[in-house]
Amino acid sequence: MAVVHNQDDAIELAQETFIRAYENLSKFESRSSFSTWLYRIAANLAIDFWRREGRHVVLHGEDADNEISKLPTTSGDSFKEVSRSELSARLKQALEELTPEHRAVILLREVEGMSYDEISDVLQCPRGTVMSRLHYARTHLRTILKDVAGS
Amino acid sequence: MAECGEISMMLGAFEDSELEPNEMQEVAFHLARCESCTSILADYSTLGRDLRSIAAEPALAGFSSAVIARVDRLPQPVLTRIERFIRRQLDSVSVGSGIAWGGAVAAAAIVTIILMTPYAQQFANRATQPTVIAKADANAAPAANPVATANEPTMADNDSHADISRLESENHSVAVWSEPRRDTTVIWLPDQP
Repeated sequence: MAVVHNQDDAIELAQETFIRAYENLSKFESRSSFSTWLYRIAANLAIDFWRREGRHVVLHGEDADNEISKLPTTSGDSFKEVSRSELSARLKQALEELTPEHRAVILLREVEGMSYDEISDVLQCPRGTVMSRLHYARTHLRTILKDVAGS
Repeated sequence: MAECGEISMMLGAFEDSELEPNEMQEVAFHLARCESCTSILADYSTLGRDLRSIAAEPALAGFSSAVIARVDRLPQPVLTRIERFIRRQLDSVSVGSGIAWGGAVAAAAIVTIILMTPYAQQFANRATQPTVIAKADANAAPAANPVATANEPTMADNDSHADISRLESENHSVAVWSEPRRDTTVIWLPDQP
């Protein structure tokens, strides 16, 4: 959710997650934990949102400046701060280039810290698929970011 | 030593500690000797750190109240609406009158229970002992053969309304009735000629 560029979109999706959960509470079967079920709703909503948007957003101009200004930065070394901001902007851009499924899997792993089994449960796909999607996503992101890191 | 192409497929899972123990050993063994794969692994680690750093959480002030407001606007099933209506009515009633209402309901329940208990017992008796209930006439002489099983009603129906579950005596001249759940046993002796 946090990587949805627009804060309002992120909040809207988070609210929608709870509304869907409320509406479908009777369908919840205790085969997985409630939090996993909630994550599943959120992930599906996010994937649908990314598909619907179908955008490969490149931040530039004021939008990019606004986003960059919100990013946490290391203090002290101005060169590192600039470098880090650029890296973060490129990272967001690189994420946009991933398919929704690949984006979901890398965010659930790296940001939410889920295990492969948990991701498999949330996205309802085999563990092997989680591994291969993660491998692709990491390779792709690394390739894009390598230029920035190199420069 | 495994090839880099083979190992690179497992590097991410190695970073996540999601490989089998033997695979973890294999990758670790390879990394100790391969600078290229070690560099890729370091990039994966940096990538994860960077992703976490850009994932700022949205402000959640007023979030729960906004969700509840949206839930309230959802179309509700009829039963839910009735339940909410009743709950609102009960909430609007003051505490004093609430106690009065509660007392009235409790009193009504107690009176109902008292009134219904004999009938309920009667129904229960019939349900649990569907076999024989013979009715005896207190003034009537016992049957010619008072020794009978519970399945064989032998006494004539009359106005005594005494429920008798068992007839027990092997002496043809004596009849014994033991009424269920009562400490009363009636022994009948035929009139002497």
